[in-house]
Amino acid sequence: MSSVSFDHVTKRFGDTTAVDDLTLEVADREFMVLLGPSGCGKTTALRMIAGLESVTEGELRIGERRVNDVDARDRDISMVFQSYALYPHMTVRKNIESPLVATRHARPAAAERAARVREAADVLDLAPYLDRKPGELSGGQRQRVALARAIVRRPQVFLMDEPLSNLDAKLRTQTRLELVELWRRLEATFIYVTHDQVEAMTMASRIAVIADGRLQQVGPPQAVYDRPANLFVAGFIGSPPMNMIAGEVDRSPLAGPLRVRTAIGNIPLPTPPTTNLHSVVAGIRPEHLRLGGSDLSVEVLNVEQLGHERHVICRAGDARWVVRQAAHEPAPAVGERVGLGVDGASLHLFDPTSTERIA
Amino acid sequence: MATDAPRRGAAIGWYVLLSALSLIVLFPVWMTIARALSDGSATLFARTPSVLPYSPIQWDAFSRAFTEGGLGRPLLVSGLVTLIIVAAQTATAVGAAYAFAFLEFPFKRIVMVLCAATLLLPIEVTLIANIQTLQEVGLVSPSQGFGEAIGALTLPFLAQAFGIFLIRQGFLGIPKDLRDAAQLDGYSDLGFLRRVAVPVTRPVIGSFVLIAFLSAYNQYVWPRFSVKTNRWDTVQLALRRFGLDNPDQLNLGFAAAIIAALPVLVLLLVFQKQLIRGLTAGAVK
Ligand SMILES: Nc1ncnc2c1ncn2[C@@H]1O[C@H](COP(=O)(O)OP(=O)(O)O)[C@@H](O)[C@H]1O
Ligand SMILES: [Mg+2]
Repeated sequence: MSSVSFDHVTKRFGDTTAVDDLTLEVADREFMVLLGPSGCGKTTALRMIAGLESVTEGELRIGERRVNDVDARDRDISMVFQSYALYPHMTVRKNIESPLVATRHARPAAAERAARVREAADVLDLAPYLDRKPGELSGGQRQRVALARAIVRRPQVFLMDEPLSNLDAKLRTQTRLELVELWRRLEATFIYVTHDQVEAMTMASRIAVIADGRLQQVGPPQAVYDRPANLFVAGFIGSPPMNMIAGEVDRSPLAGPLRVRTAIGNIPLPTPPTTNLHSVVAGIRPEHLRLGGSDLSVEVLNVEQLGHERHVICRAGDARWVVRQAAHEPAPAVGERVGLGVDGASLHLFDPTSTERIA
Repeated sequence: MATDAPRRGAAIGWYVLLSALSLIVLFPVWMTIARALSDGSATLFARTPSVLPYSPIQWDAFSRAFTEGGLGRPLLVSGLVTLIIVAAQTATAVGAAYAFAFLEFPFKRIVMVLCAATLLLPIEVTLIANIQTLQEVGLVSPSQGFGEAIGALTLPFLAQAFGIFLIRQGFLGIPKDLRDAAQLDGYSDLGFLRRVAVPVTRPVIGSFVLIAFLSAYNQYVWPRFSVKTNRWDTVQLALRRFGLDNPDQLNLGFAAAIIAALPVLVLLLVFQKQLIRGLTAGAVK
């Protein structure tokens, strides 16, 4: 098992910079999720680890070994592709066995190979399908064959590129659990790419948020959720997303308690912000807003029932805000003007020019 | 129901058209069979030509054509020549297609363009030069032995551009992920070619084998100039000689032609689906 480190790694395709000066340490046996919107360079980062894409600048290490110039075949990693990339002409058995057959390192004996295929198939409940071709399997089964092919060689590092994106919602939820169980059982390093923040939150030991090829923040899911490092992360993580509004920090002693003045009202600040900026962007998660408060005033646009809770969509100045409400509380009427209460302790403040978090 | 009428009309139109086309294509075949079964002089002296065989029907025409025409050896020569050409062309086409599709090497584009340019040259253009070359190395001469004749018949056809581009197109249809997965699994280029690329493109390669078979077996012009002794005649040459030698036995010539066409016919019947799939490969997607 092994760590993976990016040391100021840049990847360019002609004029496009897909990965920009990435420095990231993935610890041994960690479940690291690279999270970001489509086109932000996640796949490229993953493919560089795999050796399928060269490194333009910087150093990439697997364990202690610099691998910039190491052939993909010699890196001892497995990758699960978004398309699964199963060999259509081979049976499930042959597909799983493939890395053991193709290797140019010592090829295990036939009996050993069969045993390992069997073991991988058992882990992923594929035993009944070993003699089928991929074309005769469902999407979920194919995905498991791709996983079995990845684990059969017992690599140091597993790479997964949006492996759940082709599954339906229910299967995705179930497979998330299976993947985490697999990770615990294998005690291996997982590097997992997704644009789906729910996948990232639910599975990761740590999340690396990427935008435009640049690393935005790394940390455990809850830490990233609780203290997003900048406006991008704040808006990207969390569903429904964080509510944002521009405001001014009001420091005049005459104005009474410290607060952020906005177009829809004032948000009280429990402690003075560690900045002397005047303009800020205030962010409040939907669960930290309380209907019936008196800090802010908004108009109810719609009420979405989810069964266990309710999302109240409001017009807050120019923005759409979402307020999370428990299902048993009384629902506001559409079109009604309602007051919102804000707990100042859960307020996020960002610098509008640098977009960085303030304190 | 009323809305179905135009569609049915169109369907009927298509059937009529296809039937007419089939008739045009099949008519000569039928006439060859009919003439093979008719006595030669009956055909020559018939007052009104008929599309049916003239009686008495010559059921023994085929066996006579085979023995009197001495078709046995030409069939073997043709078979061997075809086998060598098809095997060599398939091997070279698969190899070159792989290089063109997946490998990077200097002057790749130029090499590909040159290769494609040979597609534009009909055999007649290079015929004289090739014959001269083979004469100089002693493969084409009145005293050519078996090995020399086979060499002369096959040498210019061991590699051919059409197959390279057809199979390259098939290779290019292999998803990139599959190639990447194979690389991570540890396949070498040769391993990937053997275990993934070729099996995955089998329909295309299969069609190429068929097409190569047809063109190799049906060759006439090249054998006509490169075989200088009757001993090593191919089937197509034997047919011509047989016709020249027996102007009075018209029907035997027709019968021999049908015998010569038999291997092709069987192949087409067995592999027709594959052939059509290969010819349209790359057209879709
Ligand atoms: N092989 C390539 N050639 C040129 N540009 C590429 C290539 N692969 C990726 N890119 C570009 O690099 C950027 C990042 O792509 P990618 O890593 O696939 O993003 P993601 O996986 O996050 O969606 C995109 O702008 C994409 O167009
Ligand atoms: Mg991607």
